Formats: sequence, structure tokens, C-alpha cells
Amino acid sequence: MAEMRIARTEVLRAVTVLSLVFVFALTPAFGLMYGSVSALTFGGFTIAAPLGFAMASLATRSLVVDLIAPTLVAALITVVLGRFLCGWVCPVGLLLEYSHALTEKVWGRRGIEAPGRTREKYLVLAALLASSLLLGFTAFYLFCPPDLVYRGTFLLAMRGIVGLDLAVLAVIFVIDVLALRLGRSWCASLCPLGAAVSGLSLVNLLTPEVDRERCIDLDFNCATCQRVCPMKIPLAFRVSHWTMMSCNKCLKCWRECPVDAVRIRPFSRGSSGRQGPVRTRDTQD
Amino acid sequence: MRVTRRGFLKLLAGGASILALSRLISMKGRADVVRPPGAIVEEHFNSLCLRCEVCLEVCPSKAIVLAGLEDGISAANTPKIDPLRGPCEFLVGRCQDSMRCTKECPTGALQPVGRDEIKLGSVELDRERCIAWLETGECLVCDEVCPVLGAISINEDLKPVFHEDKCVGCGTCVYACPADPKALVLLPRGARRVAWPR
Repeated sequence: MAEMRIARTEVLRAVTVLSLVFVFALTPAFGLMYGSVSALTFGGFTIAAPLGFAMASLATRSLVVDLIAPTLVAALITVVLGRFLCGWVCPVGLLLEYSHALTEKVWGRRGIEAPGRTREKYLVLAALLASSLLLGFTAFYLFCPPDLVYRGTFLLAMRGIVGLDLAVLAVIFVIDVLALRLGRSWCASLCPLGAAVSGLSLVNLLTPEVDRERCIDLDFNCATCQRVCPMKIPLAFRVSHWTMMSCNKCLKCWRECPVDAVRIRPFSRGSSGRQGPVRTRDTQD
Repeated sequence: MRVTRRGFLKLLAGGASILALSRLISMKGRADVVRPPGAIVEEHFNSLCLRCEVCLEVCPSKAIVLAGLEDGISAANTPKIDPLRGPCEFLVGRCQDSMRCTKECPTGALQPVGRDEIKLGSVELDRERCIAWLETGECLVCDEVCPVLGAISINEDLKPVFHEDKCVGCGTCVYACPADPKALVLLPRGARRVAWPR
């Protein structure tokens, strides 16, 4: 049963992510769709990332009228799906997960027990927006990891150009895999795009919830769910709505739980409302 | 989460160094890049452009490329015209009915403009490289391909003379120039840019 789940969710996720890379790299050649995550246009219909809109508006110190409608569409999707983008769309996230699996074999794992810091990403986001306002900085592409891959691939495959994108990608890779060595720490703790998406995911469909009746964490100090969580959500403890907004719906906790205590709920209630034996250690630091 | 004093100071230092670093990088465009048609004034261009690359992807002649670090960090990955890869075909060719880049730009960094208002820059002739001027051969390719009346004239010695005021900077002649290295270079000199905010 557990093996079936591994095969299904992980293969499905990898296939989704990889096929999107091909879609974004190849569709412009057929005139079907142009752009990528920062701004996407097909058949006269445009979607644009809310973070890009915010940065451009702050940088130019005016409301970028052309981007309002496209941004609202993207914002609506984000409010409902949350960091689904990070789990099922962003190829950088998947790349970091796999490369971390490799480095773990070489160097061993760091930070198994303590859930990582996850709120710094909001500070990075704030710094980014501040620099937009103060310096007119709108290099959104630098902070949109999926775009780095999509455009790097497009430029390489279609134009034979090795762009700046690959260099920025390498920086993210070095920070996460070599410097932090926690596996997707970039996504959980530093990514400003991830922060923007987290902050917007008010509805946040499909998040995990622990059935405290079945959970064996208290008895055996299990904490498998939070160990496998790439977003460092301390699921074995009480989790607020605010923390749950970082969930990327990778379904790892659901898959790996040894006693099937994790359920995926359509609507998140956090787990703070649940009664039961919950450890209340300070989980963030 | 408890924010420790040390952590707070670390973040403060990090933020300050990011700001200081960004200060070093001038975000005002240096205006030495040839932009696609309908580009807004250089002062705001780098701030409005999201670097989504839609313009590059829709360009049928592949004339639009991305500015690199050599054009300034602030301009990195913004679109520019590279006539060596293709001419901007807004006068004749695949874009004479509608300019794809200005139509598809999601941010408005490229604005829809009338064909007559466009001047991307102007072409400069290097007589040290020109086949006709060097008298290594008879060559009038630039004059033959030029879509603009009066931008290139031929003097009595059968040598091309460029007129900056008439040239619209489409780069057709640069693309076609048979000299190696090219005798022509497209410069943003005299470019007409769209005022912003509108």
C-alpha cells in the first residue's frame, strides 16, 4: 500500500513538473503560448504574477494598469491553491529535492529533529519590495525560480544561448544544496516567490491534518511527517493556519506516515482547533 | 517563533548589505541599448519590464535578444534588438501588419505605436570596413534592402552615404551587410521613445 502511494504521487509529480518544462520551452515555437510564470499570454489572454505587479508598481511608483487584470487572475488561483505551484509546478523545487537526496548520501543529513526556520522568506520578500520602491529594482526574473528553468531551457533549445538564468539557478543550487544542506531550505526559508504565494494562500485547499487518535508521535517520538516535509511544517505539533500556508501539497506526509494518521483535507482548519494529546514545544527555533 | 536579538541584528545587517549593494547598481537605464518598437523612456523601462521574455518569444525574425550584464546589471535580461540575428520587420516583412512584441507585452513597457512614429535608433557606417568605400569591390546591398526612402543615398563615386535623420534603425541593412566584420552598426542614437506614464 505504502509503495503504491510512493509510486503514484512522486511519479505523478515528477511527470507534471517535467512536462511543464517542455510545454513552456516548446509552445512559443508553435505560437500557442508565450512567457512563463512571471507573465503568461495565450490567445490574447494574459496572466501575470502578483509579485511582479507589486514590484513593477513600487519601482515605477505608479499603478501598472496593464497588469491589474492579469494579476487578479493569478492572485485568485494562488488564494485557492496556495503553494501547489511549489510542489507541482516549480522544477527548481524538484531539482533541489533530488539533489538533496544525493548529498544526503554523501554528507549525511543535517537538522533532522529541529524543524527549520521558515519565516525568513517573508523578510526576504519585504527586502525585495523595499528595494523595488527605493531603487526601482524590478529584476523579477532573478526571484522567480521556475522561470529561470523555463527560460533557460527555451533560450538554450530554441536560440542556442546560454542565458543569465542558468547562473542565477546555480546560485540557488549552491545556497540550498551546499550551504544549507537541509533539502529545499531555499523554498521553505528564503524563496521570495514562495513567500508571496504562501502569504496569498488564504483558502489553501488540500492540506494535511493529523488524526491525533492514531498518531504515535507522543508514544514513539515518531515525527516522520515533519521530517519528510520539504516545507518544514511541524505537523506533529499544533500547526496554525499561518504555518500551514507554506504547505506545497507534495503529499509526502500522507504517504510516509507509518500509521496512516495523516489525512488530506479539502479545506484547511489548521490543527490548532483539534483536541488531543499534542506536544506544545516551541517548534520554530 | 521568538526573534532573538542576535537573529534580528543578523537580519538587519543582511538587509542593510543588500540595500548597499543595490545602491551600487544604478537602476536608471544607460540608454545605450537599442530597444524594440514602442519602448517607453529608458528612465522607466528597467523598472516596468518584468523580463518575462514574451517579446523575445513572439518576434518572428528573432531580432529581439536579451541584454546581458555588459549592458548594465539593471538592464540584464531586458529586451534589445540585435540586427545581427535579424532585422526588426515593422516596416516590411512579417510585422508590417501588426507588431507582435508591442501587442503581446503584458506590462506596457512596449506600447502600441504607429509605424510612422517609430525610430529605434540609427545606423552608422564604418568606411574602414565598407566594401564600397575600401574599393575592394562594388557593393550597394545596404541601399538595395533599405525600406526607408532617403535614409541611404549613393554618391557620384557609387558609395553609400547614411542619413541619420531619415534612418529608423530597423537594422535591415546591418543584417544584410556582406562585409566581415560588418561595416554597419545599429546605435540607439536619436531613438524616439514613448512617454511614460501615459
